Amino acid sequence: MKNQGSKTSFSSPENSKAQFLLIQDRINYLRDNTDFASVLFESLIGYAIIAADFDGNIIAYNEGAHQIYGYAPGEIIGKQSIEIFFPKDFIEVGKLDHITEELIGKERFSYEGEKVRKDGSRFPAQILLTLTKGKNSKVVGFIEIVQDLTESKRAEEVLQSSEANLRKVIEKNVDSLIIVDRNGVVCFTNPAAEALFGRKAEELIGELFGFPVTAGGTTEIEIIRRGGETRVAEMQVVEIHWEKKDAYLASVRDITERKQAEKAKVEAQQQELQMKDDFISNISHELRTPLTSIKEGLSQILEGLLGETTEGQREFLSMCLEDIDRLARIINSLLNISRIESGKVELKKELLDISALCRNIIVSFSSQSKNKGLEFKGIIPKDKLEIYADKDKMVEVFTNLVGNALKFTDKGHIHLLVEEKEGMVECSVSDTGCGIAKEDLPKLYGRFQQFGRVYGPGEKGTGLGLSIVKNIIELHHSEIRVESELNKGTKFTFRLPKYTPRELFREYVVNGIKEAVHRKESLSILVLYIENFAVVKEKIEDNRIAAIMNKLHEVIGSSLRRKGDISFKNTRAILTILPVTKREQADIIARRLEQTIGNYMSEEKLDRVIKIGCKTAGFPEDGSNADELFDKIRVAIG
Amino acid sequence: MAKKILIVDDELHIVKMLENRLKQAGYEIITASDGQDGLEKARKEKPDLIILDLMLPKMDGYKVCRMLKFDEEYKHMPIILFTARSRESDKKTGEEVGADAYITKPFEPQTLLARIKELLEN
Repeated sequence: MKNQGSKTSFSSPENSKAQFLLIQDRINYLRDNTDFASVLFESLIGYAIIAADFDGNIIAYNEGAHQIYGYAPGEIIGKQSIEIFFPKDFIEVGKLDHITEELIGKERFSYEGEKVRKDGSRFPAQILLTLTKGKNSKVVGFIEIVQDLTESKRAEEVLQSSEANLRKVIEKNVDSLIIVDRNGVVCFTNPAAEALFGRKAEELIGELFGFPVTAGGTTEIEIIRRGGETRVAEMQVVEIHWEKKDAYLASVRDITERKQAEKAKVEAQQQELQMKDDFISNISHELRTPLTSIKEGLSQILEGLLGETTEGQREFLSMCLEDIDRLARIINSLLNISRIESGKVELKKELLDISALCRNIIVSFSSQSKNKGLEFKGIIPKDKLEIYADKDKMVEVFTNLVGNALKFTDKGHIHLLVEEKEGMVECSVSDTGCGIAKEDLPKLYGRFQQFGRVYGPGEKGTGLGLSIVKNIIELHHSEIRVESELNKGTKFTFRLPKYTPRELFREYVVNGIKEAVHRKESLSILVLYIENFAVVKEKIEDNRIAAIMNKLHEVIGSSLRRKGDISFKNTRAILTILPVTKREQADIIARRLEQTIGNYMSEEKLDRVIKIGCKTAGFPEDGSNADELFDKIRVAIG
Repeated sequence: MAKKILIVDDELHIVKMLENRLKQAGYEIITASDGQDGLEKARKEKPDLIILDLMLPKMDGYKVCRMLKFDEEYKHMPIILFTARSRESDKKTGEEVGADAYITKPFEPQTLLARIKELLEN
């Protein structure tokens, strides 16, 4: 065959048969050696092992072969069956030549091919052919070991297709997927990431990712593409294992368009509100001007500046003036609502003792309620109850609510209730008045909605009061509720958070920093605190500690006379904000305060019991936001 | 001698009524109907007090106020800003330009008279 010079010299079954005939004279040798192989043969179930002589006569055939091919040993042993070795088409296309050549050349040849069972079905197989040699190294036959690959092929196919699917999911994903190792170096990117970052995978991989990756939560990042274009993206990070190491998988979604649309929408809304506000502002100006001359003209006639008037004339003139004032109130209320809604109103929040405020309200309405024969009672805690709110606005809320209650109640009582509930301050105004019909409740806070208008004397409503009340309460991040029953009465309730010095302090620090950034100035915070609070708490009564803290607060208050210094206290610490103050200046102030307080403490003979500590933190020296500054003084505020 | 008050307002009805009220209260009144005229009359007539509207033709009330208040010769002259604008920012601007009082329209006659009296006495 070799001397025919062609690798495909076996081109027919006859030729391959001839090939087998070459080893015929070795058959006896193989027969002699079947004994030693038989144990191996039979134990290797799962492998088909067939030994043949050069003639192709099968001389050994194991149980594995029986199971794989389906031929019983009796059917096949001693017979020539080239087809058990090679499928017909295999022989026809001449692959056999190649195999034979390889086998003879190397004495052993392994390949992956197809085999045919007794029933004609085919299966993929791994095949190992080995030449067998006689004592004089003469080839006597061959052994074929076959492994059925059907199962492993199927498993591989499944694996391959699931891998392909996975790759498809990753490659076609519109979200960018980036794997970053523990050192922040990119180890994998998908095509979406290449598009988003405007860089090829090979430019990204191996480089620092450049954004902080922490698992959990969503962060917004700004990507600056080559050429300077900025994209806004939302990033979510999970921890994963990547090539046997801990890493992060970041999925990044481009939200630039969404952001732009949101921004445009907000701007349009603001513009609309601004236009509305300007419009209402102009209208009120235009309305007030003629109102001024009408009012002044009528006032002068009523006052007699233009000559004598009759009593009847004066009565009517008074009525006109009353209504002019009402018209002016409506205009003012409209303007107020418009300002609140356009976000123009900035609350002047302060620590506000709601108990005291409500007691004042009761006093201011007492004569009016007495005149109407109503009982007006306040159920208000004796102690200070502080909220963080705009005082003028809160007075407006109570004035409107109590005013309404008075207007719509003819007999019975009006109660103003203030109580502490679940860390909140709950305020309610209830009456035994005419109530509001169920169908009118949804319209209650609408503008110019007036229910159960009353005839008779007294100030008329503007139809805007409740709308303003609702707006004010909402500006304080709360909501107002109403319960009402026709002819039984109405109750308005709202809750505001009870003041916590810490939150309040934080808010002040946040605002202070905002202001400092805006004005490009610095800001410092200073904390004086009882260092050995646990010990002090055991030795001294709470009341006494509170009194001492009050005194300290006073001392600090009097030494910080500069406008803009804000100071708060909790049970163990007094916190002071020093705007436009550098850290080093704050330290000087701190030393001065420590000295003043030290003197006070020794005068009071408290210096042995109470240890006062002092901490300062400065923006921007110690941190760029409130939390970082707070970290500096955490030990002090506890 | 009667104190002299300058009323600067482009609303003629208001000017006429105010003039009547203040004359009856014993003041001498001069009037102007735009900012320019108001400024000139203030300088020439040297009134004891000025009631000054904000939205005026030719020169607005803030500017008139600022020009008088930042002039050594006239800065002692009390000025009441008298306007239908009631925004906080308007009042703040009024303070910044040195006005002595801010009265919004429509006004309470007694409040206006009280402020005038108070400012003239100081």
